[in-house]
Amino acid sequence: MQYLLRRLVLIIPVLFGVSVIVFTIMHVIPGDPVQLMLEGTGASAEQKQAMRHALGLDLPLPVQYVNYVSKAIRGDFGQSIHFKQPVLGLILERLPATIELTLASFILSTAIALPIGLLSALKRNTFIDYIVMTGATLGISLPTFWIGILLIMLVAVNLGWLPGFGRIDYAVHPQRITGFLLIDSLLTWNIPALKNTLAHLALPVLTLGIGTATFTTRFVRSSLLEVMGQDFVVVARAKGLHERLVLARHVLRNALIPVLTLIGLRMGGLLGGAVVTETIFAWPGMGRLVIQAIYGRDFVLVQGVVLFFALIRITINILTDIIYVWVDPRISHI
Amino acid sequence: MAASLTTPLLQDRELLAPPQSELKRIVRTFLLSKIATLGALIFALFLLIAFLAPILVPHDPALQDLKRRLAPPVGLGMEKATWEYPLGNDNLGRDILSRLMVGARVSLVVGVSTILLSASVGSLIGAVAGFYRGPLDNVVMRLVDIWLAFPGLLLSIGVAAALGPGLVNLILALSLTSWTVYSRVVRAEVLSIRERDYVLAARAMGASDSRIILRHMLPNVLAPILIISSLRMGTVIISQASLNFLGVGVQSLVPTWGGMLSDGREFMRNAWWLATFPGIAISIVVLGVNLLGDGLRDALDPRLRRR
Amino acid sequence: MNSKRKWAVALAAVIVVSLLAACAPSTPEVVPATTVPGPKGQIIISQAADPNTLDHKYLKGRNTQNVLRLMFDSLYHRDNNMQIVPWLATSYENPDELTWRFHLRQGVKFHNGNDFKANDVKFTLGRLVEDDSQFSTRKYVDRVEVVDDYTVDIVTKDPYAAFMTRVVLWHMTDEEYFNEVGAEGFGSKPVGTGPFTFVEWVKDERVVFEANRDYWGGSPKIKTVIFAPIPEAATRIAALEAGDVDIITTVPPEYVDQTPEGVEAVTVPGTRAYFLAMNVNMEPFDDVRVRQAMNYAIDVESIIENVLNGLARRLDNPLLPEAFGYIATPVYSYDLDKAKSLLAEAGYPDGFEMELDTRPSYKEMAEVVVGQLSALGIKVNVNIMESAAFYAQYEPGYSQTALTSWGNSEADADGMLSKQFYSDRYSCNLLGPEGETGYGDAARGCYYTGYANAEVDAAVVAGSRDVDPEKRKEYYATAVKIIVEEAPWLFLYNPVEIYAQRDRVQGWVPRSDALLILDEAWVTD
Repeated sequence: MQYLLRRLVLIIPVLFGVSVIVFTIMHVIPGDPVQLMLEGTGASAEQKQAMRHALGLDLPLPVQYVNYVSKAIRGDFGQSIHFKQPVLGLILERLPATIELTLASFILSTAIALPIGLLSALKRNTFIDYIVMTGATLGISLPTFWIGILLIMLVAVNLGWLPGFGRIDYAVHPQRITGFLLIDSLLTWNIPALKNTLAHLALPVLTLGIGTATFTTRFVRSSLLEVMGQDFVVVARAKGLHERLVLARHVLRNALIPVLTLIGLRMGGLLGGAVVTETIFAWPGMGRLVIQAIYGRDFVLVQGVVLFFALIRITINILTDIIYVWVDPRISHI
Repeated sequence: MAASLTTPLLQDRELLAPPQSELKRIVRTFLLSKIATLGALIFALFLLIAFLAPILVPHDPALQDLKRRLAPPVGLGMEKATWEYPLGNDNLGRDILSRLMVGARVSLVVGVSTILLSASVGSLIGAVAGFYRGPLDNVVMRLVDIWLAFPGLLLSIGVAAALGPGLVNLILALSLTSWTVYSRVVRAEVLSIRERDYVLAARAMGASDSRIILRHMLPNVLAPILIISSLRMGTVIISQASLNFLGVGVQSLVPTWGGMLSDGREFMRNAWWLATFPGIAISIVVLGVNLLGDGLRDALDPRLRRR
Repeated sequence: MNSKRKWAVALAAVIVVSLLAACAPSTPEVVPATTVPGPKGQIIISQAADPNTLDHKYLKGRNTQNVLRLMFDSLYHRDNNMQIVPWLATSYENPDELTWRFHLRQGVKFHNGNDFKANDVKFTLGRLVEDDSQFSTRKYVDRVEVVDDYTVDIVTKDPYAAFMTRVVLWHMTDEEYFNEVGAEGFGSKPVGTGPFTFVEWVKDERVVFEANRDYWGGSPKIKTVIFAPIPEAATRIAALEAGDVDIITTVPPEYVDQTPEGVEAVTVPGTRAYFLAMNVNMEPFDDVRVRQAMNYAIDVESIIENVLNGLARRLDNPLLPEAFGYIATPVYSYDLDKAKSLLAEAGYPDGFEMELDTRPSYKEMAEVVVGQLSALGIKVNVNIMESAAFYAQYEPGYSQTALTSWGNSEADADGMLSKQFYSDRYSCNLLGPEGETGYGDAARGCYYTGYANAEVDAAVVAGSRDVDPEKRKEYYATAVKIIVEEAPWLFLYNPVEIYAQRDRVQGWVPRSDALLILDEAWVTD
């Protein structure tokens, strides 16, 4: 409990550090948001200066930073330079889409990786093992955007099986309550919308999840193999315990701990991968938002989105730790 | 991510600085594994092509021949295919095979430099943190936490954009997201080693801190560093391609596999070979380094050996 | 599903919802319109990006402009042939050379039923001249005076002959509604006089419009128009081929010959000039012979033929044939020998090394240019930067050379010449009071090539003030001839705008100013 509290308190310096780094990077990058806003409009130098002043961009950097932080603490993340809307709103509008995508990819990849990794470990050095390992290695050796475009061309266009972009068809619009379309369509018991949402999720989830699935498979396998070779398992087996019992009671439990850590970290990695996947599949999430914000040197927006990404990642890490302790009470003192 | 991939394997490890026979065993185990050998061969071939690219290229990779724009590869019975350009020509009529060879060179430079830089900096930070513990360790680990809170790709994009175009800047940008992995693993390893008898003995005999770190700890952490590096190599090559795809950060006209793949996607429906060959090249090399990494782990980790 | 499980699902859902409800936006359900005969069917258009705003004061880029144009009208309008025709105003006159008096169309109503009147014109312009506006209106508009409900005077600071090319850009806003809902309310539910009314905007997903049956120009034929942004070109094409969208914009030239059954590519000459800008104050480009040699060294015809699939026109000068003030000038046709001798005369017989700055979307062209310049022994170091970094380099004059483009959708020589070749472009005062140049001043950000020529300046100023079209043409002819001779640009080409659409879409034509006008569009099924 105390450990958990300590972890929670530590979020603050981490978020602070993240905001300092983002702020610094965004202001070191060449490119002026005002210049970009007015590019091609025939604005005069004075007009640019006036706009800069209106946006508070003519203040010294430390002042800008302190202003930002003092507002952010009160929940005001400023107004986007490019969209002229409050940053918080822009993020919250897109948050459900990103979470839906990453969570679904996470579940899919874990559901694939656990049984296959187990199978591969049990059949070590057999034909099945080789097939699994080769497939798993190939899976992490192709860039996401390449897999995504191939899937769109093959499955969405040539075969016409699944939609290749967006979250849902316009024709089926479930009432949006939470912004999570799967939940909304369940809540309103809108089965066509549910099916439509799932169909739209299929290709992006596969694209995003494939790398994680293969990565986790490899890891589950090696983790299991390692535990199987340990003394207590050998002893258990020597005592004549049934193989299945050994596996269930000793091997799985011990192998699960490192797997959990990895899965937690990968979940954070999925968020980064969402930037590319959302761009390819026109998925209306935060990844696409942050790319646009970086392009437009929208300091305020980049800052906000990255803080959110960071918050999510930290939350996942803490959750992982909690589950960790729950699985293995011995490590509660770490 | 690779941190946790190896950490559990290395906890309370009994392996000390490997004596001569241990080294032999490692080499033998490695060679006995067909998969590891295959990985090593692939990687060796990649190195060879990269080093010899200037001699091997059949054409000037920058030479344009607009008349051969999008000419197809041989072997498919397609019009305009010729053995002079076995893999066909790209959108400006340049020889794809030659560009792949030069691209191997760039990919290698970027991959190896990124790994070297992030491994040395990251390991050093991790070793210092683990060795001195206390407030220093705390500060370093918070820094690592901050870094891990960033989506890696975004950090690379930001840094690449801040530094401007150029290969060196690309390497810096990619390294900045890689070092934390090494720090975490090395720190954990050092924390466990520092209480060992031989370290305590060395200290009792008056060995300086730097001597203890360099002579006693470094050899022990080399194995995990090697394993992580081989696995990171693939990630770095792919990250570079993703940066190219997003069109942010660093790009140049020097052919890179990621760049060829990314540029070629526009021509996928009428000239699939532009993007497919670099895609295959990336896959094979990443496959190679991963197999190599697996083999290294099997050979270097004593516990996996027992089975 | 048995009732117990249903209950469990419901409970789980309720828990999740209550956790998330606080942070999620809700969008009202769209109620399908009743089946009154009239407009029918829907068109889905896919551009590369969502609009940045629905408040046209902040409008940025053509993606936004296309969306807004459905809802809003301007006083005058460009028809599909780029002629400026009466729209919300039925006529105008110039009581003096500074005053533009517009007579407004009567009986025009905003979507909320309010009448469109002179005070709305004044209000609209009042917002456009504010500091944080995206428009340069305040540079030339001095004040607006309401004469009566349907007559309004717009007074410019200086005589401005190309004034009407600006009038077509202003979307008229309802003063009463805006004051009622405020800027944020207006941005989330805009009201205009245009052919379509706003329904909903789901960010990065879709913007939906319904036909305005009471449109003063007659009801549109299509009932629903949806903009669904797709950033990646390959995905955009896939969506079109799969039948998920009906019109896509910014199509790569290669696609024109590859459209499958049911899809066709449509093209129209665009308004962008592509060029390589040479900094006339940096060696070796301070020598006009070097700049001319560069022009002779590039085989533009071959590039158009082979790289652009023939889908571009060669530039003879900065202006396009559609622009007011265009005259044909001799082209620098590909001539390596001439280029070599010019370089030798300038003292670079073996070429030189140069830096070329550009953006990712120009990468292919940069590679071609580099390849061709190598024939002169010119070694080019290409720096490909994302747009923001590129402009930070190019605009203040840090670029030795830059591969870029400039749009002239105003279709008037004034737009191009005053912004790119007039020495006081954007109040940059390149020549300065003591004849100093403002070279490398980042705050000014409009340096480009640093080109300045007193004769060109005089002609551009005279052309912008003189209301006599014939005289204006003469001024611009003088300026253009000098610019071509002095060649601060390597004149490249003007690409066509490429769209692709499904066969079911009818009654729509692409326009060279890249605006999508769907007033007359309809679908066959």
